[in-house]
Amino acid sequence: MPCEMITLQLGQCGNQIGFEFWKRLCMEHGINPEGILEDFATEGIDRKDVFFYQADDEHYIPRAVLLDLEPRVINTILNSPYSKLYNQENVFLSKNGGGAGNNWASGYSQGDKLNEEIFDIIDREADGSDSLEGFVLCHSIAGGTGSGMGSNILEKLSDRFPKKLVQTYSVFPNLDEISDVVVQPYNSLLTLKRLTEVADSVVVLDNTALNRIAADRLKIQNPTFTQINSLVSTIMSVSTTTLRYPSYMNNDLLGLLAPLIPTPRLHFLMTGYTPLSTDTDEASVRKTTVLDVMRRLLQPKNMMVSTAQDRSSQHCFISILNIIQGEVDPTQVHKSLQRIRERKLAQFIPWGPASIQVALSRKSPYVSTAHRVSGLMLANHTNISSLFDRALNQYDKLRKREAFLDQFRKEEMFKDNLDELDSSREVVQDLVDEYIAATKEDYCSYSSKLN
Amino acid sequence: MIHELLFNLWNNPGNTVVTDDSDWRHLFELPQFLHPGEESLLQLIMQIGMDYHRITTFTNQVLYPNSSEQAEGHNGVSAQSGFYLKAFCNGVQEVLEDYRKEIISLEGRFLDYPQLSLTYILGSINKYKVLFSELKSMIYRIRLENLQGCLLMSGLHKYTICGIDQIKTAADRVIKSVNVVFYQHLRNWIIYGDLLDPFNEFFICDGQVSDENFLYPEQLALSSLPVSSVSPHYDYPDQGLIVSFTQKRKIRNPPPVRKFYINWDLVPSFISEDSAESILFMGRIVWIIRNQPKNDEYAADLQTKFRKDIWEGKDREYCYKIQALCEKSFNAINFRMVIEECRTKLTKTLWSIMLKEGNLVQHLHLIREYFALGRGELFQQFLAVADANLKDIEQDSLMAHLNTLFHDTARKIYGENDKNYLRFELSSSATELLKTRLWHSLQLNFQIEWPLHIFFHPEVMIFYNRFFCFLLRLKKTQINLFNLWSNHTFSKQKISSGVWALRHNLMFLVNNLQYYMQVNVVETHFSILLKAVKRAGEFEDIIKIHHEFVTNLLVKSFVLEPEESQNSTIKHRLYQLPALQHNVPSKVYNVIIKLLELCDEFCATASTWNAELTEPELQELRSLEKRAEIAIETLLLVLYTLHKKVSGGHLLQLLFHLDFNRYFSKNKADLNLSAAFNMY
Repeated sequence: MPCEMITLQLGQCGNQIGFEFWKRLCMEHGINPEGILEDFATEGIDRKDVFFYQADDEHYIPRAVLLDLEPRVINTILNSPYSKLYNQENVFLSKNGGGAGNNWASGYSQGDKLNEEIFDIIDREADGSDSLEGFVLCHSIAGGTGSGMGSNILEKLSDRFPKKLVQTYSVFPNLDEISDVVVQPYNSLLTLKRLTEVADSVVVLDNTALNRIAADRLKIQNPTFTQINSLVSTIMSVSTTTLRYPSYMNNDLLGLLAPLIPTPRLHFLMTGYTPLSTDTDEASVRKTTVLDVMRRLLQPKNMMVSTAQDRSSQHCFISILNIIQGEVDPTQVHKSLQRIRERKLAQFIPWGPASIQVALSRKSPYVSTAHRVSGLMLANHTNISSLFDRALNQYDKLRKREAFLDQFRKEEMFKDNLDELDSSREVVQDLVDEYIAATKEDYCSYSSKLN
Repeated sequence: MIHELLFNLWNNPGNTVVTDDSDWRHLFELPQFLHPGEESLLQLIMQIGMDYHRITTFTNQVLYPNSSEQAEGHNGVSAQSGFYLKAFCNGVQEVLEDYRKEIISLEGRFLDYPQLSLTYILGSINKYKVLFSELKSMIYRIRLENLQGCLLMSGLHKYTICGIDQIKTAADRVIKSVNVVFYQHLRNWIIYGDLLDPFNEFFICDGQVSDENFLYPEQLALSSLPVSSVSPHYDYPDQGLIVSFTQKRKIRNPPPVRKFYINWDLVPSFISEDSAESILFMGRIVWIIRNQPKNDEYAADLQTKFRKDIWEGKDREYCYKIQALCEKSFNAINFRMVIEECRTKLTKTLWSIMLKEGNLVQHLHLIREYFALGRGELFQQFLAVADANLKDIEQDSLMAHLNTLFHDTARKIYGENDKNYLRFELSSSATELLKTRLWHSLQLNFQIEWPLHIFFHPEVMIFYNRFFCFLLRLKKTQINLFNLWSNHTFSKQKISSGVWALRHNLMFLVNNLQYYMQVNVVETHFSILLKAVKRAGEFEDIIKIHHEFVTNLLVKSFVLEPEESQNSTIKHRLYQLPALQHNVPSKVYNVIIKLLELCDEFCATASTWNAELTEPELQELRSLEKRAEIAIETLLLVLYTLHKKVSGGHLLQLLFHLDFNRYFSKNKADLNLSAAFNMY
């Protein structure tokens, strides 16, 4: 099976969203928690092999590698009905089980030490695929394992597999609540540097926005991890539908990403999904049309990234891909696009051609939804820089006070100096500047100046 | 004398007399005693008698050719034969029966009353004079013009409207007799698709060969062999030959369709062109349905016993309907009604056979998935694999290799669940396959199941292949651009802004072209097609809908220009063509191809460049940029100017996608796009 994707899930958050993602994929492909194809799904022509492979006894195994430095989350997975789904050899828990203590530097250096063992697993997975297209990494940028070890693995991946795409689903911390991870700003910034320089594409999952959406749109006051993660798993699964079902466009990750990302560094993608509903609220089902869906996708409140309003610069879309599922008449899509263009509902870059690309995608026949039409937006928007700006601000506040730096100095990397932090700050600042530059007409000459 | 006269009126003792009008006197004894008055009366009476004899001589020659052999020498009537003529003669004989009865009754009266005068006899039989002369003239025409078969019908039909009652009744009687034959033919043809017509009298003819319109070129070579058997059911010229041929090339070898055609010279004047086409159409359908090929012999055996019944058990009912027409003289309205009724029944049945047994919808989906690249993943992977693998392949085995790669790729992707890919095979339209231009001539052969081979006939498949070729070309360029993107991305180096900007612009164009083709053209019209096919109800409707689909596909994708003058207005034809002009690509198409070539060139060149461009490379980039700018502007302008001339909603749709954020039209005053979009 060509175009396989290997999923790496790291740390507490990465494994949690990964777990939800696989649950969802199993449901959509008619695979039961033991990995056995349900009777009703045997005739399907869906492309299960992109994310799964078949064992000798025909049961499906996710192309997933589960990594963590502490056993809590992975043990929950292994005690769930899905325990038999995963290849046990692909579950890696560090021997000491002490975790990374929410410290990027600790995660990074542990990752370095465990490098060989981890890449044994990854290499084996890669060899087991016909023509591997790339890796999907799930992690959070704030903690220790996902961010630190994640950063390490990202660097190693691009060394080891220079011709494979690396996409990440990166969870950004919730800024509305006070975090118990005091060094979160350091962790985030250090990870952001790797995401900018090493990853080919980053799907930003902003916990701030996710919680806000849960509260405002879904009316859940104190959303649980599971509820938030189900949002995330929806986004992950829908954004891969064109890869998982026969389709006339966007058949591989490359085809999906290349039009979205014109310049290499501006590869942070926002997502939006509509209509949102939870299992419990069926009353909120409205009549959905393509226009409704496409219009709502353009509204900031449906974005899974909380962006600040920045009056000083004219933020705009670099590119948009809408994946529309359901009963859709193609002529409706065209009419909707016309309406959006007429009313200028979306601002685009002035330095190049851009439009809303639409992928009409199949939907799993095994999962019933109350909505006729649903849509996911993957967008490259310059305003995502406000998220990084915020990360810089937080970092600066903490750094000014030289707070909590001892934890970092304990590790090899920061023993002598804090250059790594400085250089990370510089990279992220450049990124923010480049996004701002991308709102202007002379972006092309700006980017040549960078050379 | 009277007795003699009556005898002569009844019988024709010597055939020789017939030729000579004046010399009738020797028939009577003592002709020299005849009074001149009597003589002229006799002359008048004998004239009628002679006419009668002439007519009977003709009918006897036709009906009993052996007994009149000696007459063959000088009138050549026997050259004409056939069911229609015989029926005509039978009819004439029937008409003459009145005359004969009259003579018998005259004889009886004469016996009763020997003083019967010649005038009385003349008075009694004079009414036949007009009739006989008409019959004579008819026979004369038959002889002279060699009237045969269905033509007799039109000749006779004239008399039913001549206004003279006697002739009308006589004509009706004769027609009735001929009708028996005609409707027998018609019935056999319409109900059973049989043509039992040894004298070629029916207006539908058996070409004795397979219809070349339903044959692929390679089949055509074989089918030029004549059909050996007269039986219409098995028309394989040589079973052995066909079998070996089928095994070799299963995919492009639909069962042959026997060629039947209308001999327009034989179509009776009272049957309209439309009805005639309808009749031809029906018989052909029935023939096709009844000649469903079966693979194994047992089934073939069974099939001769239990042929598929297109009438669904109602053949008798329709048989009687046609039979009923025979009873009356021709009534155009009735006739058309019955024909139409039969046609409706047939075409509805055929529609449902197409849908249910022929899996039409499944075929259409396969067309969408393969010819229209709906299976993007397959073709994308195939193109990538082929690119990587074909470098060291010998020219001769190139096609074989491509097919292996194609099937291997498909098997890897679809596994065991979906084996439809086995119904496709790649071939090339070019006589000489060049590796460099491989993607320009690649075609798909599709194994079409009976009876859809009449629906997807070779000509339509040529159109599909034109479309396929173009889409594949587009896809290839798109992949080239994607690969350039990944080269740039994986290099992790700063790419010169000129390079990525050009790459981005070109990729944008190609992606939007691709989107336009797949969604605005294919998806849109495909969903219309599917809905319409399910709603259609009649076979001709689905042909029409399908042709509209094909036309839309090729016109809106700019591959071909539409045919404005639709010359075939007749709906009920088995073989129809979409309204497209062959080999006339549109202006837009040429511009798009130029653009794609530019993209390919750019990809090939740019992939050799390092992050830092040298001076010559920069110059090359500048020239590529310039050319791209011109190509893009040309495309926009062509689309824009064309949409004003032709009703080109689709042109605007493409423009709309390309200029979504008004980037290309920003500085171009002559492109008033926003106004155009608003109008649309």
